[in-house]
Amino acid sequence: MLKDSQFESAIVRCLDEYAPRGYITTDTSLIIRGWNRWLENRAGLPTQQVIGRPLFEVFPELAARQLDRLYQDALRGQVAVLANRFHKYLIKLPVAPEYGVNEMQQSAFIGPLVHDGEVVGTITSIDDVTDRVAHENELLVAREDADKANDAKDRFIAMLAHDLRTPLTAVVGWARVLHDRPADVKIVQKGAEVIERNVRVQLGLIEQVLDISRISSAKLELELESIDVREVLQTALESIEPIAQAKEIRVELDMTSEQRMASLDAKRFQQVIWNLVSNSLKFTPKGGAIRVSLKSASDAFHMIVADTGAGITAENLPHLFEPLWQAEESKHGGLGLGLAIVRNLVELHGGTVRAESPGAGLGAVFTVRIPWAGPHTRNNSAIQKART
Amino acid sequence: MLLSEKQSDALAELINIAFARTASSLSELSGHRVLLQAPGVEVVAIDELPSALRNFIKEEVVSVHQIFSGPVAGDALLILNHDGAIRLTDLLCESRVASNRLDTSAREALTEIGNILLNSCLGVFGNLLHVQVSFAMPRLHLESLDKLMRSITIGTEELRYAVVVSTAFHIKESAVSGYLAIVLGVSSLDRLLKAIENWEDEQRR
Repeated sequence: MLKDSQFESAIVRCLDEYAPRGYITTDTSLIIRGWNRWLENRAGLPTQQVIGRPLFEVFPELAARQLDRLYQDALRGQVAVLANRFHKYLIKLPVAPEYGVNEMQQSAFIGPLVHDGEVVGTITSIDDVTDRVAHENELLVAREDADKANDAKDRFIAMLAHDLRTPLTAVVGWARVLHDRPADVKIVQKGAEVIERNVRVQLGLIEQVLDISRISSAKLELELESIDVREVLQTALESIEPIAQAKEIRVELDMTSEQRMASLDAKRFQQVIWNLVSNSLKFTPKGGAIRVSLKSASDAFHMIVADTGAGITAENLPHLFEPLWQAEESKHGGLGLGLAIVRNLVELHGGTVRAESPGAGLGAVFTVRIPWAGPHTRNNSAIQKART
Repeated sequence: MLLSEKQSDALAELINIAFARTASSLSELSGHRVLLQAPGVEVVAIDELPSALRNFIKEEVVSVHQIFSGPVAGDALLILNHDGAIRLTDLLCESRVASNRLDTSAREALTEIGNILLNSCLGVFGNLLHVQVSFAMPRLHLESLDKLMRSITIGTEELRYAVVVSTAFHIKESAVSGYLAIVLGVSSLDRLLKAIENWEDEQRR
């Protein structure tokens, strides 16, 4: 039968060996008397190099960070807890590089070591909370992203309501005029034009919203066929020309590519061109220029849209193709869907799109790269399901 | 329980000393100027404590609870309502976004805040009484007020009183209200009040 004291020392030895946290014990002179296996392993300091040495000699940073007073308090019977959020760590211990922090994240407590009602030293307990902190930070980032997405959605709904209402105001106004003056041919003609133009604007907005909705629910399908890229490009630019002229912006077309035939969805590729050139028109001031080039590489063609417009800051560049994103400083309105639709349509064609700009006020260049052979599909099928 | 004017003033003065220490420690810890007010101090019988707190706490109570023992023994508690607990940790921990829950790290931080406050108060009382008080580990509880009351009254037949201090933490133009309660047996309270009176007399000499 073991004596109580023998049993107690067996427990202490067992804790020393197997405890899943660090324990340091000192006497009342703050000389280290205990240093368990967990600390040996984590700090790489064997017990014999630590035992018998003053605590603040082994860990001078404790005194430098004014944590030495907590040990004086412990000798007076007080317990102090040290939260990771305030202190990050108690003593510097290494941590795996994938956590992206320099020290093992810890929470700890420092308390008195009491025997028969007398304080005979101190005990420090250290927990490794690196994993938990990393997880909490991940959750925090996810929450920030969700909040941002929510804000963007709210802004989008407000903007959509505004943009849908604006053409309706003109439609309602002119409908009333037509009702009051049905015999005035000039007025009727003008009214019909305004109503048609505004309804088309509204239709365009609704199409954009439907496209994004189809893309995000993976319901957008391409109808691929072998088509002449130069022809599609020319047709698309011709339809944009009147808007450019109205804004006194020069649109130049440069087609050096000799190869012409590519596997494309003509309607969707035209949408890519319209959205990119419309974006440039929106941000290029009166008297500016937009140059659209078609260049050929061995397996793909490049369509480049370069403008002399407002340019893009380095900070905004990475967000340009995100749905609902609009630069804070943008005063140009719109739903912030055009470039997101471009990216999705280009990717559906198996291509990529990138934007470059030397900075604000210095113009921007958008480069679309699409393989001549179209996206890699099973049995060269003409239908490619959209990705989410 | 009615305190004499002398006892009440002296108790308030001592609490203010402890609060000044706490505020200084919390300022150092957070890097922000923290002020801690103790607008009111009263002593109530333990069974009157829930009604003293009921106006402040409607639902869940967040408390940091520390048991102390020795010649003077009892329970020390920092009591906050749930919203106040979240706001206090957000203000002191520089949270990037306002939280709506107390995660493990926030609970730890709140435990340290309570621990600093309770250590300061009990340290001041211990010095006054020239006794060494031993502290248990502080524990954070999220529970109803009734459950909290049961946890501090269970297993004792002794008539107990609570020194109740309404508190307000002022940080970065915001204020978070809470209560400090030190629950003592009648003999410990008697000893404390006598020591407080003596201290007050010494101060006047």
